[in-house]
Amino acid sequence: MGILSRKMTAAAVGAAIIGGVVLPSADAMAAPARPSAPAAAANAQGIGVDAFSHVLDITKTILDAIEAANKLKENRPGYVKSLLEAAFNAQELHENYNVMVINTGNKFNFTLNNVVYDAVAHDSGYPDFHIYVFDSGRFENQGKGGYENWAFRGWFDRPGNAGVVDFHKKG
Amino acid sequence: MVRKLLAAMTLTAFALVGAGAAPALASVRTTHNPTVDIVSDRTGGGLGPRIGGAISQLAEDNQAQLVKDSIDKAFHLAGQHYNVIMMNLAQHYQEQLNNKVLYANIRWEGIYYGLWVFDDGHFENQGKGGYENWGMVGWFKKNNGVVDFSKP
Repeated sequence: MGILSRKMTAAAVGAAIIGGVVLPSADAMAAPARPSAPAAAANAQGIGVDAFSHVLDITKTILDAIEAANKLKENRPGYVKSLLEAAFNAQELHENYNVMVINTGNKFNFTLNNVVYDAVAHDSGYPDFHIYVFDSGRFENQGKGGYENWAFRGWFDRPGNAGVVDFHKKG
Repeated sequence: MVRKLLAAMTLTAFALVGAGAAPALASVRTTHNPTVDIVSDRTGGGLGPRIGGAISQLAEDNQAQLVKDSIDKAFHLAGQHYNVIMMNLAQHYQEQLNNKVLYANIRWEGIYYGLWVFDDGHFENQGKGGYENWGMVGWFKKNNGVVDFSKP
């Protein structure tokens, strides 16, 4: 069983130290090499690591990795909307066009008119996102929703708050 | 930042419990500068780059201070002629602002903010509040997450 699969234990440790007091686990006390070193590390986000053997203690590194991953997840809607706002507000476009940003891993269909910009944004922390800037048309997201997967702005009807969006020209 | 502070407290506890731990770990607070992308600038006179430059020089150690300082820089550099709002883009919001003379994407420690400089309009924060998520300066009426801005 790998360290990262022990999530339940790790979460329990996280809950236990919110007051700022950390008690080394029984494993830590029994460890011969570094008896005083902490075996459990966690922070207030409820994430943590139980180190069952730490001749070389890389717990801080593992904890940092979990925290970084959580932070990426938490800020993913912000990343998607930063792409959306950049396209919508771009100086050259004068807020005259509809914009769709969607995870390239999603299944989607579209019929768009007068596409003035079509690109894929890459960021090592996130999936690729496709950006379409256009006058009008229909877009259907057949995959996952939520701002972490798609975001759009402009002039549109979206019946039932579902995956089909009918965009019309600004006017 | 609250989270970071608590994490720092955790480290302090380690330092106290574990005799071998380095005590300096807990007390260091590092600052980070934001990355600013001016997406649109209709202010004229090179104001956009000046605002972007000033914000990118802010060395901050927490989100709330970043927001306070950024909107203050933008407001004063724009001659106190416009309203300014900054929003954590990970939150839900609705922006209906008029005569937006500047929009910038600001990224700090993996958090994405939008910064608008504008005449008037309506803005709704449908997510979390607090300076770590949004801030505004100018002429407005605010009712919880709903803000109506008027011209100065």
